[in-house]
Amino acid sequence: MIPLDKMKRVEIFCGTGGVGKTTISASRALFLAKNKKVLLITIDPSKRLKQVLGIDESLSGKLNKVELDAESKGHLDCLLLSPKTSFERLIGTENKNNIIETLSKPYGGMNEIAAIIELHYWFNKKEHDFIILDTPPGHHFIDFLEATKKINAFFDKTFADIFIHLGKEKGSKGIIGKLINTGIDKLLSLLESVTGENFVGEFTSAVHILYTNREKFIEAINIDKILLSSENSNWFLVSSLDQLKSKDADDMLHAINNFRKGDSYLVMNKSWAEHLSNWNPQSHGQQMLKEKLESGEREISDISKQNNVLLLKFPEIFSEDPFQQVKELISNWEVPEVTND
Amino acid sequence: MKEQRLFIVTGKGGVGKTLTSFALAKKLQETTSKKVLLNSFDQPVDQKLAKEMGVQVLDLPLLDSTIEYISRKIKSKTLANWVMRTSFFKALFNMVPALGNMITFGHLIDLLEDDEETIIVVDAPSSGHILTVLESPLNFKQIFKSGALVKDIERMLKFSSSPFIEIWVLSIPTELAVVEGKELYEKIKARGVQNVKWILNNSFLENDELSDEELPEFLKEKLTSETNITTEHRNNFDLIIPMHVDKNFKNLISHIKDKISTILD
Repeated sequence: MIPLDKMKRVEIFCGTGGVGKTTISASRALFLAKNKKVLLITIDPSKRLKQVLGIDESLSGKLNKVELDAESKGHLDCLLLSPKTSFERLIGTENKNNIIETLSKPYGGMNEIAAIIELHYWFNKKEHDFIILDTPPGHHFIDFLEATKKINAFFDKTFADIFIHLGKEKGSKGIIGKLINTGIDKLLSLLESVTGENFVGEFTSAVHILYTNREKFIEAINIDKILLSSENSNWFLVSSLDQLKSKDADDMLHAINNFRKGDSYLVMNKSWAEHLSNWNPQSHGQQMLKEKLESGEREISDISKQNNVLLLKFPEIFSEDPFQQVKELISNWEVPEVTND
Repeated sequence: MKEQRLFIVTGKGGVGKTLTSFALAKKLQETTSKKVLLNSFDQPVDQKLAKEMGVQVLDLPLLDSTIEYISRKIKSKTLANWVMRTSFFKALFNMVPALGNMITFGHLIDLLEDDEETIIVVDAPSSGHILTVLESPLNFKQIFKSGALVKDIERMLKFSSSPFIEIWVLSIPTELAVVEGKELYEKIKARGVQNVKWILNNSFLENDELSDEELPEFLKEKLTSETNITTEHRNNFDLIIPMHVDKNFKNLISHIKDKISTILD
């Protein structure tokens, strides 16, 4: 399905929730693991991948070796993100700050940052031939990419200088000007009035820890250059036919148009195309259903045509077992030609 | 009439949260004398659909919401404006979305407490998000420990476990959506939310619009797979909404609206 000369070291699967991103990316990882060494990273907070691949959640943050079937000659590691582990490895020491600790909990909201740290770490470690990233369900297709911009803004050099300084000694003369410009003094005195001094101390120390490790964070988010270059990465925008919302199509277009050209793929999951073509219903109800299903298929293929993005179709698998589903999808990656009609 | 003031509709992506929240807002409009508002946390509600449906929208963009919320806390709009628009603060908020989630949640509660004649229906983002929202007050309580904000956080926690809030967890009959729905239902219960309902949406099995003709083989397979997935959970669903074949959103909303009456009174 993806020609050999289009294989990239990093493959990113994104899309709104529930479209089958996790299943499709797992099938891709298992497909590549037939003869390559592959790492699959998931940042889905519901950790469904453990169910799909039979992995223990207690091992999150570490590489889990996935048992492959006898025919597979490669190797598959799976990493369930743990922001705490990623963060402590980056700063090189155990974290003792209460604020950072709390925010690094599974639902603390730091998953995207952790994903970037991990991607950067494993990309440079060069232990795997391919890294597959299953991104968290965003509001938009490329939400994930925004994460690096957000981190970059937070690590603005001006803030960093101030907080590194504050961590050493509070209120030295030289930085007063900067304090006033950025509004940090306002923020701190305001915080003190609502939260008490204890918090402000801990907050300053948390930011101090982050900013003294600023270079490491900046280095890690530089991975977005890899993510954006079609030389190193393939992007897959995953959509699903059983839940196409009017807004999704617009979002998809927006994402594609605002994104780099070339080597992005539109994945149509749960396609019933092969069944629909041989179905000739007579009753009104079934005719309506056929029409509805066909118009969904048409909508996605039109988007791919109009925008010159290659379309990859994945059939709906009628199996209750998610593991079985993934297995059946693996063979779909073997389809020789890329369809765009 | 029921005392619920805040309804949150959640579930895995693509289970029909938006249409169901519109249907719920419409139903509440018809059955109560209260003002019904539709919100989607800090994300904008589909204005076009809302206008067509005659549903009043409550958009709470993060920055505005934060300024308003903080103004209430420090009793000065000028000061809140001044501080919240600083570059550091904006960057911090982007970096720690949980902070924004908590403030939006606090803002919703403030609005409900200010006006007892209001009901808010929230079309929540995916499952992980709602757990972040429910968990954030606990996390920030641990961070702040004492002071004015903690009092406010305690108020949020109290509200979460009060009869005023009701959460609907939606699933569709696929293995992953059902398993995730069940997990989410249990986690929300464990957070102390009293009124939690689990709804199966888009059930092929309950559909009677296609029965005039024998189903083709692939739809029979679909049906069998659905039966296998849902059988063991059937008694746990508070409501099953049959699949309705229609491309028109208005018709779909009105179809759901007709079905949800049973769990509203």
